Amino acid sequence: MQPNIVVLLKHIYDENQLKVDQQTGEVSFQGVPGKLGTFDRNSLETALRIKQKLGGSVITLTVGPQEAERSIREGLAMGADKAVLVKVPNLLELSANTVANMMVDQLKEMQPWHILITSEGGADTYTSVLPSIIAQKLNLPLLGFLRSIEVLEDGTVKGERSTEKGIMAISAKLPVVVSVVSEINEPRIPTLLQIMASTKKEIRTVAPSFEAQADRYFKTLSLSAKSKERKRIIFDGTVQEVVSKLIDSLVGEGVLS
Amino acid sequence: MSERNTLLTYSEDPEVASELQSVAAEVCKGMNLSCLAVTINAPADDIDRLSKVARDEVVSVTVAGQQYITPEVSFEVLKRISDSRRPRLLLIGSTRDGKELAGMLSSYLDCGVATDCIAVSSELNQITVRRATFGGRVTATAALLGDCAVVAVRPHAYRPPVTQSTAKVIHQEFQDIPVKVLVEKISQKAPSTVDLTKADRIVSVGRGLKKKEDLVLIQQLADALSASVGCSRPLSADLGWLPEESHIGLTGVQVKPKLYVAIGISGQLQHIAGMKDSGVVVAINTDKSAPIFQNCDYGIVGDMYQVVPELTRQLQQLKAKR
Repeated sequence: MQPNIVVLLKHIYDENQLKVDQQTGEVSFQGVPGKLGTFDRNSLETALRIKQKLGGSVITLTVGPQEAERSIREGLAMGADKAVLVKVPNLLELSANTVANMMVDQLKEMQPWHILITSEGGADTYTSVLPSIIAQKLNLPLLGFLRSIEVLEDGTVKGERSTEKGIMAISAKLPVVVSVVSEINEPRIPTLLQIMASTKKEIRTVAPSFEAQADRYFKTLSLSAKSKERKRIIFDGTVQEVVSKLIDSLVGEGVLS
Repeated sequence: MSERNTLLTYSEDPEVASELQSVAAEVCKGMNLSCLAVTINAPADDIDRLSKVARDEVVSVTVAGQQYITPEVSFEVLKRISDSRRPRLLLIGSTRDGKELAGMLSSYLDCGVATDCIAVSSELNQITVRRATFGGRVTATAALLGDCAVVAVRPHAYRPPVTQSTAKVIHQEFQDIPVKVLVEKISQKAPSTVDLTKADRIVSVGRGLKKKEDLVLIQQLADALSASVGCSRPLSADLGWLPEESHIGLTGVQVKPKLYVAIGISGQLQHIAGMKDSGVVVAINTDKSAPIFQNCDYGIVGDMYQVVPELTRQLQQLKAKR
């Protein structure tokens, strides 16, 4: 069994560098750098490890703007063989449903593949619904929130599903849709040589299967990052002194029992 | 086709199922909907309890031959109920199971979906939700368009209704549910004993802790403060030193104690998202450039292995004096 694996990658705004108006809490994306979705590295790492063991191929799929190529290159440097970019300019205005519909159309064209791997959620919107929407649309089994995975020679995929209630050993027959939690592995960091080699790999850019100027499912009305102002008092002195000052302050705040 | 005028609620977690009744009440202020609370293979006690907080009806579904209700099974049940009842809105508990269920339902119904919502309301026949995005730093308000929507509500974002009702209980049996995913083994957690969402004081610890045995230092401080113990994600998810219910953050629990003491926690956005509504925040960390110091009221730059025992000692002294 040499599985063809597709990994979903998302190019997101770096949440640590968002511009926020402290007075109004309004968020601006102007000039905010993009990056590869944090948890997507874990999904790609999962795919690369399966390929190391069984052979096959790893192709990444991204829906996003031209700038997403930067993140896609990182995926290629990590070891993906090829990449597909479904180019849309307005990703932030598109709902998970619309993006999933675009992906499903593209995934049908990319057949035959055996495993689709996604992360537990986009590090920006964190909706976590792409894998289940795609699995439902393609009528495939979903092995979700896996913290371990094993692909057997006979085409069975086994994994440990991690939920609030505990751990569950689950399995299904290929082809499957998989989502992984970030605890599943420690993603590799590409070497300089791999980064250089990645520029020779192919990124195929395609148009979406349908136009989505205005999303028909979901409309963001406002984004607010208003946060509570903190006092930010840092105490100076010896351990004994700073602890004593802290206790005085906490007594003053009336928060001790 | 008849107008969509039903609201369905479902969560596999009985407590969350009750909380969804409060969300339903909120939505019904702006929309005239008939509410159906669905349970699947639930024990009689749970059904009885739900019927006392549900608005109109409880549909108690029995699925034969399923030991464990996976998202694909609950999807099949809600899909069949949706076919006959044509819901305007489906409210699901935003657990991991619930998020998958919500995605599948929205795909089947070809309607919008929002997960992890902290508030849901309706106005002018439109469903509006609030949810955290960008690592919890940003709160998004969004409208779900169209004549049907699936909304997954974050567990414990709402409290169960206090008013008692007597909803009618209807029993239904489903057979021939197709299954693609096999469940081979379940290691269920012991029921949670910690509920940090209700704690007044929390002492929370992160990667600054060098080994599991040192948790005793944290527990001693927590005892001196009459506080509960929480942690950042690595300590529960990666290291397993504390149970998953102790994980405070975007993907864990969101807490709002009067006092929050963050020890050896760098303060990544994902952690801040879980504690930003706390009253007074104290940070203890060796790294003075750690982001937690931007998000605290009082900070001590220092080694937790020196600061924490000293803090415990002085607190005990103070207690003895009083």
